[in-house]
Amino acid sequence: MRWPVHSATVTVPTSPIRFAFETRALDNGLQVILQPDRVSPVVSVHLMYHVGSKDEPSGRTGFAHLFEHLLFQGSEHVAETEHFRLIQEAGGTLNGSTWFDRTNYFETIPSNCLDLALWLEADRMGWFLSTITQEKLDNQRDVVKNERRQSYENRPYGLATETVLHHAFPEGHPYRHPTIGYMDDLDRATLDDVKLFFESWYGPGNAVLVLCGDFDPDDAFRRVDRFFGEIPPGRTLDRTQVLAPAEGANAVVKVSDSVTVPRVYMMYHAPSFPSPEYEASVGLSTLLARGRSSRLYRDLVYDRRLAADVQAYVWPLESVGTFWVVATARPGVTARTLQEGMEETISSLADGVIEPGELSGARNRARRQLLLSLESVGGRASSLAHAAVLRGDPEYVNASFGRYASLSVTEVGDLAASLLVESRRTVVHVEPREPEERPDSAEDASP
Amino acid sequence: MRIDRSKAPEVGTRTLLEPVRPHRSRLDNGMGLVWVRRDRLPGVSLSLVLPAGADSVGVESAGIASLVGKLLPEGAAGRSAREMAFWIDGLGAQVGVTVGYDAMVLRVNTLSDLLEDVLDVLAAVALEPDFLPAEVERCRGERLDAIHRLRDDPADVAADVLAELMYGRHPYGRLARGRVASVERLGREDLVEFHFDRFAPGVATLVACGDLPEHFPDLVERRFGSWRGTAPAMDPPDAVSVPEMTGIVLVDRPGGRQSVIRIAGIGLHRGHPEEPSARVMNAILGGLFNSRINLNLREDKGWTYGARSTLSLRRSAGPLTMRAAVETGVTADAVREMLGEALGLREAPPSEAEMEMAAGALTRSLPLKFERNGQIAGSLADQVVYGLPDDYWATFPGVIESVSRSDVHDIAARLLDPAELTILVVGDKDAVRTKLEELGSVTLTDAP
Repeated sequence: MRWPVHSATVTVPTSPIRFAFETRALDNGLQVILQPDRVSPVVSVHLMYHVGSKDEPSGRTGFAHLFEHLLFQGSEHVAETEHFRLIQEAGGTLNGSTWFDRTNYFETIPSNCLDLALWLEADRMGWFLSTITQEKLDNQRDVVKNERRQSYENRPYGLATETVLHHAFPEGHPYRHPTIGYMDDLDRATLDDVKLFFESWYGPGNAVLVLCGDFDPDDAFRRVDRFFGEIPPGRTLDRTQVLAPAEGANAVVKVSDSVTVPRVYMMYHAPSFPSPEYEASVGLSTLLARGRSSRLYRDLVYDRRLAADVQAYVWPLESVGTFWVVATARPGVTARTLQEGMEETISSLADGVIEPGELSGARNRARRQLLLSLESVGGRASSLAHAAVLRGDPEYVNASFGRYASLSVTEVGDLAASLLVESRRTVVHVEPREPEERPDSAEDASP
Repeated sequence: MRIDRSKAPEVGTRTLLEPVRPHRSRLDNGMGLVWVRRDRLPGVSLSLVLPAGADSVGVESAGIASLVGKLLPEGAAGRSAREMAFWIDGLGAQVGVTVGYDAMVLRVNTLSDLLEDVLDVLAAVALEPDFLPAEVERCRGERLDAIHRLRDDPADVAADVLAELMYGRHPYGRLARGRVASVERLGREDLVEFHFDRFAPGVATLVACGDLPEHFPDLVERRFGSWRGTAPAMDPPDAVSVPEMTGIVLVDRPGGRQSVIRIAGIGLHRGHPEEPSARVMNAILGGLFNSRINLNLREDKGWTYGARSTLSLRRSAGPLTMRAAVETGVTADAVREMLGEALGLREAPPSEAEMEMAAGALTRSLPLKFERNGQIAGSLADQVVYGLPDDYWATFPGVIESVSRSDVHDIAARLLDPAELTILVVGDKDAVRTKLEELGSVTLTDAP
């Protein structure tokens, strides 16, 4: 069937979107980004430490994330369960998250409560270690093991991603294991690990603090200095260089799960987040599987009826990117047939022509999504922090609009040809488990 | 300079709510228009609200509203499904249809420089869906596949089973997507008729928030002004006061690494006079991180990643549900502890500290709920669906603050009567059944 590509060409004037911000630093090395926006009476406080699961000591997978949980267990001036209570009672929202390259802690609060968030974040940066106990460690270890069970082991296809990573990266590579970690490694974590990890990574010199929202920048900076200024700088770190593997796994890896239909995961080693080709890789993922007009959706869902859903996405990793293409089979379709269908579409994109209309739609989708992600102070603070920590350039948040608006057919086409090749690829098939086949014991989930 | 860190800094306690003042009007054909200009960013959120929710059909047709919603963009105004896909994606717009129990809402997100094109899309999708036979076949097949596939997820199984245990053949007894048996029966004529009966200007409201031009009403008039037809406003379904099935029910999930627990009673309808007391009570029970069930099951015992409760305020009384996924070995203990926390709230009023936490979280959080265009459009859409007055949010903090400890005690006594709770466990029968039976008789049931 001929697809009406021509009807999609919509030329859009590129709206200039700029968020004015300033970058300052405290004497102890804490980098502070201030982005005032007085439209709504809210402020986001976002503290990002440049440490993630890739920095875990060997045999301690999951430790960076377990550590993040411990930082919510109180500090010298904040009692054990008070962090959440104080922020929620003030009307705020809060959370923390751990990823391969970074760990972040963030609150969005009404703007008359800024000091509260600063006091809490400063206290756990400067006055944490003396308060950690074996009891807190054991409790949060149990919580994290239940997080692993709930979000990965007991969820359909929940272990597929970590299987891909395990096969795509060589032994010893820091992106080889998932941030949630493996059960037996979580069991090994000790109080000494907590102390060493905190002292190695949680100083002000290894962090960026972003404030977005309703405040006066000079006043806010003075407040930041008051709460964080007396924290000592901490040690300077030598980070191990992460090398990009050029090749994926050769064989198709098959795993079984309690699922009704198979799913195919393909992952290609791809440009990292700081790479100049990153935006083209996002554009390519959009062309491939975002929206019902995308290549994989129209081929596999509409026309050939092989897939129930398709997805493509890029992880913005610091050292080496990962480009994912995932499709769920329709009933009766095997993983092998589905994979062949995916390959045909992917190779027609890698070898063929990208039509300008296709790309203008992908650009519009990327711009709209970017706008949506920057609309709230929380989303904007997160984007500024990621750009500052992983790219060393918060201004990227403003520049990215222009990058997406100017993506060219040549640029995306060239990337498709060099990226979507078998040698960079790892494939995992998740197949339905046979009825009599019971899963192994719950503690034995590591690949 | 050293500062005193020994106690939390003094911060403001006043709710910083800046009232939204929307423009309101009606087209000549009766369609409502509610819009707010916010030009900080070049984006717009639109919501077209229709009385076409899942609560207005019987269980034998369950899933019809949701299937209509899925089909709206799959061929409209003479354009094929593929042409629609290219049109929408070419604009970069996001067109989503949310079918809840209370209403159907067509949501569109767009860059504001493409607003006019996107209004064309919205009008085509809402007013002129073609329900092309081949697309009806395909979409129904996709929906049936999805319903089968969702059985893989124990949390989804729990939602589906719990609805029926509590509400039986009431519309709330099915999830909005329906079941295989009801969706299989839906034919093209059923979908066309549903659309014809429920979509009409006199009962529709377009809500818009964002970077809108001053002449926005003209743009709407041009696309929706010629819309004709009438449709009834739909009454809420009958109220249910006690779950149809109470006691402990177990769905076997061999080899499950956790048990999914749901403990639920019938709550209140949106707008019930005791809604404020129930909101405060829910915040203390399980609505916040420092709520009783989470502090107990997670922070004290480490049995779960999180225990929560939700109060589903619908046009008729929805459920009040406590929920947790716990490691299999502690299933019965976790049920006992959750029930114990519910009982604790019935036995004595909450502490003053808990009241302050709940009221603060419910009221001082309002500015965070009116920050994004989509949030404001959503809130204005809720106002339409539930008939809330214009000063609803302005008076909300005062209403919540006037709830007393004894009000909370009273509403807990009413809504958390253990004889009127449904306790559902989705987990490994062989591992959990014996200990669950120590708490009461256990009924086994299958996932639908």
